[in-house]
Amino acid sequence: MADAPLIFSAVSSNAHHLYTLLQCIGFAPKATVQITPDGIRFSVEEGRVIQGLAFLDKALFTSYTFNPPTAPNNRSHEEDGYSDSTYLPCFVVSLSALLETLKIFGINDPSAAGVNKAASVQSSVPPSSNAFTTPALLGDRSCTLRYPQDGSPLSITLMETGVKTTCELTTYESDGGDIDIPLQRDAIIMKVIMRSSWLHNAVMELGATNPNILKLSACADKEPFFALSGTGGPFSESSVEFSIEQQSQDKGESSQSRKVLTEDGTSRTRAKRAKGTPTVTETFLVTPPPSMGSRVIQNYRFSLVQKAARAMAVANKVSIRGDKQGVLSLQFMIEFDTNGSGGVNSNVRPSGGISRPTVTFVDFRFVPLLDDEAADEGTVDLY
Amino acid sequence: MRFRTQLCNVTTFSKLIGSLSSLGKVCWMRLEDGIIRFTIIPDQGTQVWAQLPVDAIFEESTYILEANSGVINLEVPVGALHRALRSAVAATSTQLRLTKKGNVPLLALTIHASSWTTGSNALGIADADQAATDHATVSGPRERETVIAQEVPVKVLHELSVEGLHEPRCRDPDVHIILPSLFQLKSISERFTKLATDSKGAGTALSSVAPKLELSANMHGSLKLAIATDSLRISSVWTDLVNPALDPAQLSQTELEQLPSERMRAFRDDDEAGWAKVRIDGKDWGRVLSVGRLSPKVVACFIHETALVLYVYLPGNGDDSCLTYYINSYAA
Repeated sequence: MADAPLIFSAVSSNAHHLYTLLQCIGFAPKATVQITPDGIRFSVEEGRVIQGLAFLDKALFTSYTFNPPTAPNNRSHEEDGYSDSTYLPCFVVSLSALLETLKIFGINDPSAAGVNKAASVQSSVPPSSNAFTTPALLGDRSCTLRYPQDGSPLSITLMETGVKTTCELTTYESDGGDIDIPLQRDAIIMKVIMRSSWLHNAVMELGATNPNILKLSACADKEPFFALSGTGGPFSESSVEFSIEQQSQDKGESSQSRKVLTEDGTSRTRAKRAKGTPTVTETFLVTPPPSMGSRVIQNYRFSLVQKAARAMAVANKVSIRGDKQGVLSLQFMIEFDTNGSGGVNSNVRPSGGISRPTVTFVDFRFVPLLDDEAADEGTVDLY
Repeated sequence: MRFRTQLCNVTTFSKLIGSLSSLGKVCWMRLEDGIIRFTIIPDQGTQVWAQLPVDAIFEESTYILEANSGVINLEVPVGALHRALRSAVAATSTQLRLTKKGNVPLLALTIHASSWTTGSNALGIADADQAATDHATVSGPRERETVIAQEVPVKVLHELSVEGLHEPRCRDPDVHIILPSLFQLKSISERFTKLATDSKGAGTALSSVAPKLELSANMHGSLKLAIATDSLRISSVWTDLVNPALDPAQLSQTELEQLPSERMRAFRDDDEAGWAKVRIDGKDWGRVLSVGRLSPKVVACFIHETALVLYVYLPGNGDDSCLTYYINSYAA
């Protein structure tokens, strides 16, 4: 195309995977894109209180070429530390347009009209290949992402038999406003890993009463061990507690969560158990500092957490972490069955040897509501 | 003045009226001996001139047309006719006739439908006692006939009032090409329109102006659909389409060679000059493409920067049934 080598070009045989991942963070119209040697990072934020991050791992692409441009200005403030005179291109594109483009082909989903309606997720079926999206049917499709030069548009080319669609998205310079919400990794006081669908069900359940605030409560030694409750809505308060069962060996199976839903905190009968680990969780660690007591309680704006609902519905597992300052991190693990065709190299995690699903991650971070804001329940003018 | 006929192809008729109804409220229906014409001339947007042989939708043997001039011109509310035809789709027989109620002329549809009752009586009421006494001899499900009458008020147009209406005349097209699947074209067009509307709404507040799609084609089998806004530029290109040959019987060799399309064919396929382009309203285009439900063959004739004419041939009728769409190109 030009004399200088292309900065970035990647080919995927399945635009659906890219769509699924990007759709998870489709709550904002614009996304900041950063191209790295290991994949493309899309981040969106709203009012500095919620941040969503989707990483398109290079394993999702059949070919992935990245020639980091060299530049005089040293912009390597990233944690990855690519400092030696090259930098990672970073720009802003219209995410809604990108999603709409990816939807043009390969997705048998005529009803999915709205992109930004993250709250209206119905199915919790992970979008692995089914009868309608088998790799055989998608075989003649390809999706190419290109970023030829610094400042040139990001182009997406979709090929299908007889039709070729090219979308050039104007790239805007990042205004530097894309500062990550800091999660203090050395001060994590809560870590819960569980099937994402439990969290999705819980948030859907709470969403029915339209609350303002999501209260997260976790405790290692006292009931309720792990509970989510919605408060401050026009209707009564409700809460979802993840219960403990006597035997935990059938974890994650049919007799799972027995969520105890109570209105206005009335008492309930529950199975008791010595060790305080909710049945649905794989990992349950609550280690608050002595100053906080034994229970971790934080409030978050419910409507913000709800924006992650699409990711909750799509993901296999979620890791819920909270740090000392109350920043909530939801990390969703999404597995794609790339059918052995996708991975260029290492990043494919072999599991069982037969099918090697590509593991990708979508992250969300939320800033907590402070106590005085939480007390002032009526207002929704946080952001 | 008399008009009466049995419908023979209700599905086609209903789909045809359905796609016409998306473009205008009223339609000029002209009944002639052997030919029926439907014409829609909206205040703005696309004109349709359709012409069908009687046997495409009506049973020719039952087609009775009596008028002084041999022609009946009607102004028909297409939406109402479409709704009326819906109940005829599953019917065993349907009759259409022109009649009068008081002073209002009507197109009356008499629809005979039959359905199977599940119970043992004609009304399908599962009352055991009643059924036992009234229909002691009958058992099991039976067929029930339903007669549905639909009336669509119309206006009879005098010959003088339609005299001045003529099909638009255009110069010879620069490019003629057979369109790909209208469903695919429609869904992509709608995505494009939505993309442009969304990004415009986010940027400036000029959402009152509908986005214009750029449609272009060349004589080497390529069709391009494009739209551009501040934040994106998207295009889809179809290749290996057919540029149909014109009927050599109608034109002499020299005439054929002087056609603008032959001049366009002379350009190489990668030459920008070989493309004829029109700018059309996205919403209007979507309505035009609703004719895709008839799964027709569509030849698009591009008159560069001027107009797009679509010849829509209904399947199974040869070239006799043809709907012609005239779409004006907007200035850049």
